[in-house]
Amino acid sequence: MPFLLKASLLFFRVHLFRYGRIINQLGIFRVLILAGLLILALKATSVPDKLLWQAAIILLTILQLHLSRKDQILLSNLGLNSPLFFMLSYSLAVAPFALFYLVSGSYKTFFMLISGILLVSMLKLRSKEGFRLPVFSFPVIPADAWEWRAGLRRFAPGLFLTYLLVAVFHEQNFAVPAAVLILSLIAAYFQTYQEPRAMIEAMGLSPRAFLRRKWLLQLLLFVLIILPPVVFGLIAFPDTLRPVILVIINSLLVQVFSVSFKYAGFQPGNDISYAYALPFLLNFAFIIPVLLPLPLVMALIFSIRAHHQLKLSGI
Amino acid sequence: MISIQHLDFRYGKNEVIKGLDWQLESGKVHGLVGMNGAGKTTLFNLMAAWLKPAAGSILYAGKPVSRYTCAFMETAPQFYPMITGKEYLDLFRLKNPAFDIGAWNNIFGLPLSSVVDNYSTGMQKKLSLLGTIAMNREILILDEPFNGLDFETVRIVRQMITTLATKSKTVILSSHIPESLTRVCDSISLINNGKIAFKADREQFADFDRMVGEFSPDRNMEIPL
Repeated sequence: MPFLLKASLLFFRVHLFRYGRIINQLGIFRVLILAGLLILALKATSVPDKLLWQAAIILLTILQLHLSRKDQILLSNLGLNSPLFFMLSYSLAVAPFALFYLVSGSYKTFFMLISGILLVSMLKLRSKEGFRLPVFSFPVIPADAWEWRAGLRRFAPGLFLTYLLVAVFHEQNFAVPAAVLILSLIAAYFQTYQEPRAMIEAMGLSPRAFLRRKWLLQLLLFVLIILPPVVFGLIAFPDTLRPVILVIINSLLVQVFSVSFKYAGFQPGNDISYAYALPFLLNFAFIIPVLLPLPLVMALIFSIRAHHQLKLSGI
Repeated sequence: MISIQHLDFRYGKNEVIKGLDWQLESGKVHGLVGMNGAGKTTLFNLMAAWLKPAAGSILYAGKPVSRYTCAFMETAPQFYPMITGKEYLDLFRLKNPAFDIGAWNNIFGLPLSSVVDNYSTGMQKKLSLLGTIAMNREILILDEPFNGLDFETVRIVRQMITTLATKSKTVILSSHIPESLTRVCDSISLINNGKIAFKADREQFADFDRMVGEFSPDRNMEIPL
């Protein structure tokens, strides 16, 4: 068997086991919810006119995984840091989908997926040393809102683009609720990294007081960033307040949930962006009336779990 | 006085600490050595009240230690990504506003306005050490504090540790290498098989290598080259 194919199979196997371990750590409750959402998404997109969308999402996922790889040095040492290796590895990962597209006669989707994989594989992985982001300071943000200091530093362009969206579409009444939704998605993403224990210790608070403080900071700062578009909406569209209020209430509940979710499975220094799908999808709960109470229920369940987990962690 | 008595701890079925007893005088520097996996970090986690023992007690001045008694610096410091060194240290000023970041950073000269992601291993260690000191706790537990530091910084850190002890702080530090501790510690203990095998005072340091040697018998290793 050619060396590269052998190596691709080995890495594929290693990553399968790795993801297995991650899923195992999530716990049965979260696995069931995520599996349910995944099956729903697959079912909804596995119809002939939606297959292109499905392939696009798969490609975006592969692109994200490729760009966030941290094994460049290991791969270089093994002589595997080459487009051919990535092509083989990613082709193995998408093989079930590619086969499905072939069998169902969606050749256009098949070729789009395969050509996308080829293009992604050719993107060179950049080493961390050459990468420096400009450092903005946020003296008005409290020191214990580290998620916001780090998050705004990373997502400031996203925030400005959202405000720009409101300015460009200022005549459309959907602009304000859409902006609140996007800002909620961004703010929830701030809570996808679990800080080291020393940072929590520095605050010297009990688990209950710590959680309360974190919820308060998340809600206050979220309200602060949605204030400009909301005030604009109140002035420009005073008659269409209902959808804006609905999105705001939903988003506030998702913010409480995102904080609780982070601490419910607290492991110092752990990056939980892989589990962001849950707060992401909850942001859209307001679209389907039957799902409206879901963010509230989830926020309550995970708040209890977060308190318990912080106590267990000796905090 | 820190008094540890009959301490037990296990990870699942793996008994890591087995009936450990250890007495440490306050306001002194105490070293802990041991082989990889001997239980040093687990013992420190228990002392910092980050883990709960299965049995036994850890008392400081006659009372059980709490998370407010100890400041613990981990071997590999962790930081929240994309925050600056200054923002990290600001956190510790919430409970200790008297901590003068500028004055302390004069010692290390860290680029505090840069994000910690861009710090080298040694710089991260220095920042973590400043955070631990900023907590202003009675007991400082430093797990492998000299790892990743250059020889000049090792000298400065030794001086810092000695100064902390003169200010009535009790400092407990670990190392895999006994020589790194003899210059700074008042006592050095060896942990072996989940127990304190022996504790040597300053007068016994000259004989320390021999004492350690009894717990690491020479083996003629064949290097498969």
